Amino acid sequence: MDCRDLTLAIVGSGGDGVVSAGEIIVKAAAAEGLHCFLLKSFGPQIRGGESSCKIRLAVDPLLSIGEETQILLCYSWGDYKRFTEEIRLTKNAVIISDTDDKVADEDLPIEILGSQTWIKVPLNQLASVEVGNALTKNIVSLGVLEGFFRLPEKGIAGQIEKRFSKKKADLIELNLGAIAVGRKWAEDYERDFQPELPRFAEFTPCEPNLVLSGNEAAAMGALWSGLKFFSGYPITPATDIMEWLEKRLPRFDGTMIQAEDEIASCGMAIGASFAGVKSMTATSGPGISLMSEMIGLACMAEIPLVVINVQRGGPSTGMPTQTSQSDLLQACYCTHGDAPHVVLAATDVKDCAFTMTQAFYISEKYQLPVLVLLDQFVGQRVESVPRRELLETGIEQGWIKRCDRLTPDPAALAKNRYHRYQLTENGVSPMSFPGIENADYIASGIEHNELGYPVSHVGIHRTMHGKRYRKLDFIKEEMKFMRHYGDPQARIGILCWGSSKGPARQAMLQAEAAGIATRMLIPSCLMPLHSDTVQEFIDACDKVIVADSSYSAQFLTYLRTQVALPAAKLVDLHFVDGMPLPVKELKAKIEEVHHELA
Amino acid sequence: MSLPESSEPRPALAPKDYKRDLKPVWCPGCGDFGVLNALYKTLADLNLERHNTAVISGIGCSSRLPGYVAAYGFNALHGRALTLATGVKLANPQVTTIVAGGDGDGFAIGMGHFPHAARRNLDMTYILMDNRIYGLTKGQLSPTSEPDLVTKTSSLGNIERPIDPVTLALATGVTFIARTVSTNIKHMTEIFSRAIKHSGFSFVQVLSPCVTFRGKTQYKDYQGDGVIYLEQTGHDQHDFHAALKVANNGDAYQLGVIYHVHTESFGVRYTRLREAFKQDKNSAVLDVVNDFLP
Ligand SMILES: Cc1ncc(C[n+]2csc(CCOP(=O)(O)OP(=O)(O)O)c2C)c(N)n1
Ligand code: SF4
Ligand SMILES: [Mg+2]
Repeated sequence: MDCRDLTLAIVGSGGDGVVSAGEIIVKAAAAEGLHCFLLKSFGPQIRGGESSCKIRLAVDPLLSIGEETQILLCYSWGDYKRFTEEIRLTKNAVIISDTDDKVADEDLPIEILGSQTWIKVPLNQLASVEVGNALTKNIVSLGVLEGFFRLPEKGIAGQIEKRFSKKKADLIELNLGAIAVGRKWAEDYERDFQPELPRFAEFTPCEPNLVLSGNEAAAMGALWSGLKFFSGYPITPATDIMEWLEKRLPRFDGTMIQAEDEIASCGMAIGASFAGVKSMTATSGPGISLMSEMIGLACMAEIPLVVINVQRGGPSTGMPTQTSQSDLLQACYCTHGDAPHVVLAATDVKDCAFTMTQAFYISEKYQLPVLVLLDQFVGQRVESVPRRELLETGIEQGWIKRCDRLTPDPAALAKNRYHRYQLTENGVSPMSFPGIENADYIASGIEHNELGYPVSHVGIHRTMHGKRYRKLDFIKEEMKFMRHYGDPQARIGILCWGSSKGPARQAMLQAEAAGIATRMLIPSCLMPLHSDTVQEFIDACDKVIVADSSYSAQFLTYLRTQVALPAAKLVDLHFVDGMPLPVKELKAKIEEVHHELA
Repeated sequence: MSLPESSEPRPALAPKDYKRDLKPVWCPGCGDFGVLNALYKTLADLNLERHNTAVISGIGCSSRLPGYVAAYGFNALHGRALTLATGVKLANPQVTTIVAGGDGDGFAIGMGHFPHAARRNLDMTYILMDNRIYGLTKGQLSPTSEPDLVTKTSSLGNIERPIDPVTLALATGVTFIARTVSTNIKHMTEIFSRAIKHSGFSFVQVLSPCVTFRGKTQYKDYQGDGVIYLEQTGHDQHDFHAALKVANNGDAYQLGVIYHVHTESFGVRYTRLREAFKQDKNSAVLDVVNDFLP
């Protein structure tokens, strides 16, 4: 059976090389112009421990990682136990396991159905005896997969060469040999047993696609927007951003510094922005908790600042390696006092780059903090993106060029006294920075007048609140930033946000195939929310499914503060955080609602 | 720091030119007035450009200081001045960066940042205005309060051991350390000048009396036999062990430059690192996408 779309999962322990096998497959496919997804998942262990990766390869562009897995390569059933929720198999899945991993049938963490194909391969044996190096087990299994499922052969060889070229030359040979051993085993097996297997369709290789994670895309979007200063403190799943920028920022005369904690990293970014350069920091939930006082300072002192939160399961330390949409309310309300700021959310890997250009545009233009919500699902998954498409996100739309702040007019400075917090129609006043003559001022977190001088007069406080809040009105109108999908006439509407987009669109397509029309609205600018657009959407639907991955339905809670959601229309579909929005459940809910309406 | 070279000779500014038209909120007799006046003099002595100078502070009576200096200023969060200053200096290295604040600000809530500022050795000057009490919140214990001190949160006397900021500075590797007193403007000015000229992180503890919550005792303590000027004792500022000895005051406060050493500043090291990263790399920012080719 030929397929243009293949889902595959690899499970084992850290030492099995699960992730590197997954990366090789994905990069090999992308090198030949295929579209792919890679989602890694780890147990809590620092080294070793269970790890898995889910891969999806397709000839056509992809929306999500895919719900059920067609092929499972399992090095160890013991490790698979941890992933039974995350890796669900299709009824006629192909399971490949290691002959050496012996488990009694009743102990198998999986239901073995007659419809599945289970092939036990002596992976350990092949690696240690045939190849002569037990460490090549993952590469041997790549050969097996290649042989059985017709994975891109040239691409895989190319990746092996690339991966080992910096090491010893004989390593390339050894690993190419391991591929051949695996492939031959698969071919012999096929000849002898003729199993019924899905095979990747023949395709014409074309221009390679780029392979990157959401975190990397976000970091690059920031660099494109003119980022010159990054300070951070390591935290899963956000650290990749700092690590990527550490090597890139210095190349473009920027600075990256690892701070002593998140309070410091946010303080440094504010200091750098005050000093005149585009600055940001990135963290996850616990870090935002520490930064909240600083975020308020940036609101009050009107300092442009971008803060990324790559959400993980919480509260407290929570589930650092699992995804979550449960920091939405924190993002909206993290500071004390009335502190106007902006919250954006990215929906997929490419969108991470685009959202960052928006974030810098808004923060620089309106001089306030912009919080960008990613999550582990979008931040750490790897996707293939056509190079041209990625470049278009920022350049063609011209956002990057516009990411600049308003500085005082030199002629005006020569004539009049500089008022840093001058009252203006849209609340934005020209911002100077050290180095500009006759424009020195005092920035402060204490309430101040137009000069920046401290005051405790309630009237001035009210006026300055007004000035700061006015910016949001303008941002709201300028940055509607709404994404519409599906059939604009559909009676069933879906409201969701951020990384739920992919799975939700997948569910919509499946529903459409079953003859059910749906439409979806995703606000990318969550605060300030263009509530009129959301209200119109709600009013136009007969039923509205509000979906997110948070135990307490945070998106619904937030929407209730912004729009009217009649109980008769509302369908609340929230999932515990820890995993992306499940396609199957959403699709089931769509069907249920459809029957109700009929 | 290396002072900015100006192409044309600038008219020299007088101390009053660094004064902002904002009246200090401090109590009459507060030691912080002295610190402010010494700072005006220092800025004038060094002929620093107002637009290339930034004074950064946290929160406290003392942290109000940047508002009174006609230069760029940031009156930020309690305890966090060093973090902002780090960002300022890294982003805009030509700016003379001065941090000022109180003992609670720097050595209670902000303590976590001090050792890191020290070990980075960024080119900036940190002036601690130490009144050994919380002034702004009206008289609670500070981490530098003496044993047995009666305050609003230690009504039977302080049972905790105080921190000596200078000893701590030595332990964390600060490259220029001095102690001075706010009653001696001339001494303060000299010390501030040297601290600002030092290339690397410099730390100055100023004994600055709080008349309102410590009464007149501090003024008395900082007079006559209460203080020793190290310039007169032949103290060797380059000797770490000698520095440790005078750091801990003993019977009298030891004033002057306590320790001074030269090591490369963070800025110098980072510039070198930048050059290393730039070698053989594409320089157009959009070409970074090519890093993701499989
Ligand atoms: C996070 C936070 N906690 C508490 C305070 C209240 N507060 C303001 S200043 C201060 C202490 C002031 O003492 P010090 O730093 O020694 O400065 P001084 O007023 O003595 O110059 C405190 C506790 C605050 N502003 N922020
Ligand atoms: S309370 Fe003390 S420290 Fe604060 S202004 Fe008054 S005298 Fe100075
Ligand atoms: Mg104090």
